[in-house]
Amino acid sequence: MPEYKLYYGKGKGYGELSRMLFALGELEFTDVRMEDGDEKTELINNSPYGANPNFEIDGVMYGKNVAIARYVAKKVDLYGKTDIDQLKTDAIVDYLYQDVMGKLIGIYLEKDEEKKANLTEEGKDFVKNTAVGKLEKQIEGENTFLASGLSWADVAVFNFFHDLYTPFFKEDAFEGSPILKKHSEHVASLPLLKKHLETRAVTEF
Amino acid sequence: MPHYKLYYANGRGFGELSRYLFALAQQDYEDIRFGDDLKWEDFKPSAPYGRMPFLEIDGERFGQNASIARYLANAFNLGGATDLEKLKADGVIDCIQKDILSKVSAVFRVSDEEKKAILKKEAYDNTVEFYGKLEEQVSGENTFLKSGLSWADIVFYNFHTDLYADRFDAIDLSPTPKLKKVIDNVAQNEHIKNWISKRPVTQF
Repeated sequence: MPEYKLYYGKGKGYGELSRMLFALGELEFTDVRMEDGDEKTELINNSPYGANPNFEIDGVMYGKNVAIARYVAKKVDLYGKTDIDQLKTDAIVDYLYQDVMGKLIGIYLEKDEEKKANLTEEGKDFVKNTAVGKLEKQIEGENTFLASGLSWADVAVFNFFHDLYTPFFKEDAFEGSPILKKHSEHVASLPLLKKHLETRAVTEF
Repeated sequence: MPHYKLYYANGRGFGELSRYLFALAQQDYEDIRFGDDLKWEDFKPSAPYGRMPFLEIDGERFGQNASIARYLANAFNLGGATDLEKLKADGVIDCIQKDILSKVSAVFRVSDEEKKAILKKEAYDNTVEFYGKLEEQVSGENTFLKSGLSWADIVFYNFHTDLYADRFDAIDLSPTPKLKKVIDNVAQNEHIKNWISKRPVTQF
């Protein structure tokens, strides 16, 4: 059994998807949650791509949060069983991280209050009126994206809305989207994920 | 063998990565390019995620450029030999597509010349910084992966040669000799050379 160590900050952020996948697979790993400081800075500076999360497997460091999550998904059998299903999950996660989160990161970074307010409205509108619809179209199973059952794509989408969108925008993205609402409720109800949600560290983001 | 149709604009852009992979595998596919005869506007409403490129496999359509390329790479034995190698390749691809390309793309979204110049400098500096990081990731003699040529090499070649090149200050590869070897290895590949000699010559 390889030794897995996930390095991130104290929050959920970009580390949480992998943590959820480890929980769903009951796969052991060391959840290193670093305080801001010299040790964290040094780790980040020496890491493959200069940012957390980083993932150490038997002493070798790997970077990039989605790449890490995809690896963990494979190890816990949540990547999809066929190459086409894997392509489907990759595309959903890609859409989520590149198209959706990529659009929203500008809001987080904007310092000008008025611009921030405009971008926030645009962001909410985009998520609720465009992104949600595109994601709903991809659902082929009973509350799962794949007809064959749960995959990391379901967990990624749940993680985004539950841990990022709602806390940041302080609203529910699912008004008018019963399909995605049901999807989210289904994922949250999975016993291993429910237990993870109940026992994980409470952080703002 | 599945029947493949790649849909993209008449240009290299974000479609060329898949085209290189098809060429390396010597795999037949329909190289469909939008233009006056085939309007993107007609396809956009039903295109997966509303974007191009998208790949049709036996009649079913799939979107998201990197995901399509990963699927093809794995199908053509260019994905990496083990899950660890695939994790490494995915990291390289994500670095190029997210850390590097994002600053490059930002330049094209701005029309003000003064702003453009500032963003171009940022894109250059950022690219140089991340090339330094990518240099450390080259584990083979002239490939990112120890096991040999993979789509990671193609993604890097595609970025350096097609997406970055000509539009920004040239990047000197002498501080990153391993990256230069990666580029040269791809450039010298018979199937890549053959494709480059046959493909439509386009501005982007």
